[in-house]
Amino acid sequence: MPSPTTQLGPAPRPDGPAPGRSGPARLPGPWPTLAAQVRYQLLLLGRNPNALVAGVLLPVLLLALTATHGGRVPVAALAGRVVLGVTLIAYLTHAVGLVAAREAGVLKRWRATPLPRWGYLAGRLCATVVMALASGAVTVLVGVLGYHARVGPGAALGLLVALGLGALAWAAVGTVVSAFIPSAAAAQPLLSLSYFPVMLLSGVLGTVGGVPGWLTGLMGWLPGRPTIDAVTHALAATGGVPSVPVHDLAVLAAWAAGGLLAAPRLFRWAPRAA
Amino acid sequence: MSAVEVEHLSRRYGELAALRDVSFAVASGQVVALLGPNGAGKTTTMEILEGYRAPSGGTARVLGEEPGRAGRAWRARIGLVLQSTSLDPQLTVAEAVGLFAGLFPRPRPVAEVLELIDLAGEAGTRIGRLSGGQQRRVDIGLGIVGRPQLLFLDEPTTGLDPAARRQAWTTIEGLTAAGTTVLLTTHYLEEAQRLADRVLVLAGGRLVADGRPEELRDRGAATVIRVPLPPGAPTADLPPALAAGADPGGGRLVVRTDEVTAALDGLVGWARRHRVELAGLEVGPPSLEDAYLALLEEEVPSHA
Repeated sequence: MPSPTTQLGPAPRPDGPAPGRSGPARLPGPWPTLAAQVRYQLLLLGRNPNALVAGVLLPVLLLALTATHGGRVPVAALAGRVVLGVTLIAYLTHAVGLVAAREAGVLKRWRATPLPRWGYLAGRLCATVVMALASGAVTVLVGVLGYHARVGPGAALGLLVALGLGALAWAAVGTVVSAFIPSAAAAQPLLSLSYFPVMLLSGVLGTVGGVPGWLTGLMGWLPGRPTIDAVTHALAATGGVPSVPVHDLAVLAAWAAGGLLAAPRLFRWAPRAA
Repeated sequence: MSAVEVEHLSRRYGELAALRDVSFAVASGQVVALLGPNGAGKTTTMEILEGYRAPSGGTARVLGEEPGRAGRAWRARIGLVLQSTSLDPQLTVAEAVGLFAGLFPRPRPVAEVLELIDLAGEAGTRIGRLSGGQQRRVDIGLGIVGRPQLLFLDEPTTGLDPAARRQAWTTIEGLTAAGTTVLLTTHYLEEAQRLADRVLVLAGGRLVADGRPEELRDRGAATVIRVPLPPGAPTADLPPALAAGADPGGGRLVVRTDEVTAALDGLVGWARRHRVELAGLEVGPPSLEDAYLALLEEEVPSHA
């Protein structure tokens, strides 16, 4: 059964002679290139069942489980579920997909095309952030409409900043970590090992008791706790001015910047054995 | 002007010398087949020319540039089909071709590419649902969508059924008729004979032959005698000059000889003595495959 087909490249152009035979021909500019890459990656994510399960179904299911008392979800719990969905997409789905594409030879094939090196990574990161934001929006809407979570009208802008920066930080770190994962088979377990302890200790499903003080302090400097705190504050904002702690945003910005700087240097386009 | 110029190229992987002092040039518009057994250095050569690997020594220039340092404009002038299929299974055929078309300055229209690879009827099918042979044709489509001046084809028809292989050959012939330079690796001698103007043979990382297919064939100038052997044929009693060519497991006898009359005399005598019917007996000039195998036996004795 044929699938619906999306036009991913630019509109078809008139025929012309082969490049190099009639003087220099212009390559597509950076913006059309980036737009095409983002569309392409969004299409892949939209057709990836893992993204739907991790980004929407799991957070909504956990909301339903949280809301057993009076059908209401507290803002802190909603923030945890939102961050869970967003970071699962931004980190796990993104990095597992990168490793799988590398192992399947897709990245190696891209590297030999005129696509600029930054084009593939930028397209993938942008699409991941957009998809993560969409996941966050769905969870917030379900929380507000289905479980009466008290989210103020001033939450939107703060949420956009907190989730956008959080998703970018996690995706940038995931891109770097993917470079050290030897195979697609190892991707899910290794990435899960680096994700779930951080998120659970950061309180994504609620406060964890008995954690040493130094470990709690450390969590404040990893990207989990600042994402949860920033989203909790953003959801709780009642005025028109976003209220997101600067410290959390600074930590997330630092992880995002560090990841974006390191990723192009460490990124591998072909499997290690190739 | 040469599209590809390779001089004293070498490449080492630790202690292993994958390429040793290989030199050749490919003229614009030429179709060159790179042959050799597994591990001969074909893919290493291709990957250096495609810009994936740096040589350990020597130089390689492709379309006037050093592949490892060449930029986007250079990559827009080459097309390639990697040895393994490298596609996103979630995309439809038309989406994948359209996506790649958007990378090049003057791409072929998507519909034209789909016709060339004979997948117009599958334009809306996701690549993951195609057969292996159809996926290989998509790989070829992505390789040609940018109207490359130089096309690298690394075993492009491996996995295709005979009809699809012939279709791919017709596509490649169409490109070469329009002046595209092609460098291909293949394990199918018939493919090299059909497509290539020139054959390069690598063995053990060295270039051991370079010439037109007919020149290579003439190098193994001995006449070839072939006959299918019935099960249980007493090959142990074959005359010594013929015994080495017997392959009872494969059910055939293949003998290369300059003394055709004597060899046939011995064969017919043996067949009469043991009442073996020589149905399917062929005597003729060597094929490219015969010449190639003889060359490998000469250059890499362990290959025999």
